[in-house]
Amino acid sequence: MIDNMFNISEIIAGFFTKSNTEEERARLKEWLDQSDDHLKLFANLSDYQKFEEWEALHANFEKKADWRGIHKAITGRAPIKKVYKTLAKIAAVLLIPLFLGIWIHKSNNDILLNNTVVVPKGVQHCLTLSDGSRVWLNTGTKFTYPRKFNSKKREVLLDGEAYFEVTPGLKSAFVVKAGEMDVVVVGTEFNVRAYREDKEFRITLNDGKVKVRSQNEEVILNKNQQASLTPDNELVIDRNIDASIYSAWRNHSLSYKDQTLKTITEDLERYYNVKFKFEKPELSHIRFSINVQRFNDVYKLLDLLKETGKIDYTIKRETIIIKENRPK
Amino acid sequence: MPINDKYIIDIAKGNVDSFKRFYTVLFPVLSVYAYRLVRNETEARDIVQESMIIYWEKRVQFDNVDSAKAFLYSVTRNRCLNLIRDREIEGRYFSYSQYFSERKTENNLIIENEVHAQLHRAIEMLPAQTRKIIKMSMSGMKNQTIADSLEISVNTVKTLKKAGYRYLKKMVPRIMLFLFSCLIHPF
Repeated sequence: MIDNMFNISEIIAGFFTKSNTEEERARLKEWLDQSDDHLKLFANLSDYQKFEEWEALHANFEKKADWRGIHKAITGRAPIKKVYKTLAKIAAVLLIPLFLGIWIHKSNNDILLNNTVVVPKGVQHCLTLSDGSRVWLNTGTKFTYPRKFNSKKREVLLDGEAYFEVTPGLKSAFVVKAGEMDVVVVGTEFNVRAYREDKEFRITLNDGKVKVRSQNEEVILNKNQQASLTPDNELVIDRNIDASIYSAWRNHSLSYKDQTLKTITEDLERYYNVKFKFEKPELSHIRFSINVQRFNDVYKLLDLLKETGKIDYTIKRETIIIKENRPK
Repeated sequence: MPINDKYIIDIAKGNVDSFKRFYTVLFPVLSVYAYRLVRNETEARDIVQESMIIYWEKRVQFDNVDSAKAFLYSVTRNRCLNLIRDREIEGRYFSYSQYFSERKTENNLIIENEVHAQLHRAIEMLPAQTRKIIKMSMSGMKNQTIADSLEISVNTVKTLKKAGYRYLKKMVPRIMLFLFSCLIHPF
């Protein structure tokens, strides 16, 4: 006997809306008693965040419904093609799951309502904060900000990469907290790169002035300057760089100046949601300078790199393996 | 008003307006489901769009919501699985484990999708303030916290919450939309 799948969905939903009848409650209990699998599924469904995730996806798809397209198709005016194969080639910056996280565990409770945005691999996102500041979020980034800034300070949390255009002229300082680092600004444009999983922190200043604070030191950066945190927790300053390279990702381009393949592939893993392995560890230290529009698939870029003669690659199962270039 | 069997019969007779309503409600719900499988928004949308077109082409076969939706989930699921299989053949594999660490059976994904859709439909019926309160309450917020963040009294929160759940209890069983009984037809 196959379970009445959709009936149980209704009863589970009825549990959360507290609208089940006596009979439905008994049925639910019976279903839960049937197997561990059912218990797991129910526990999963009890996670409110998953529901909010669903709602965010749903809202996005509601906007993108194309009745006109279907109407054309069913009234016989346009032929139906296999669209998904061709559209899959088009890089689309589209879907952002929004986790509206209510943080009730905050110890000092001064930020009552925070939003956390998680930008998945392969997309980037731009949003505007309540003070008018704009933030561009790169792939694989988690960003937390209060829905409304209070008048005393503007504080946000970053794990990933973001470009900030902070509204000047406001009394309160704008603070970006990235792991152990703080960036304090009043009004300016800068790029912060702090992927926690890569244990890195780098801030590049495009305009204005910022103060960068680590655990034991503090520096001021001006336009076209950069501060990075070394593995030994030292702040290294570069006072003469071209800041635009480090924020080129906003324009969907890949820009690297003499950057190691290790860093480049870390980014590619995020943009394209793929995995890399190196045949020999030394290969990851090879440096490249690239400046191209981001391709729809990673293989086009890899082919470009292959043309330089420095590396080769193959694909095995789900992984891209970087190999030495061996002349045939 | 929710989709009921009458809509399905109208659609079978060729009523485009009824189909439009049907499409408007189901397209986003099925798209979330498809997205969970294929992990790409554009491809998910395309698959559901095609499924809806195929439904229209076979509309005369259906006379109740249950079978209509079973059909749509089935067609959508198969197209998603075909796409996943094609991707693997081409050597392009995208990791799905990003959001789901455990393997879910296909029926579980459908149940999840349906429960969320049901919840969403129910909660959408509530007036704005009550809806906010009930959602915050479901997320684990205490009444005092809800009251503080909405700048209303705790009593108001309690009252609106109670009224909200009473309303849901009255209205939810009437939602026929996701009431099915059955097997997914294999295609």
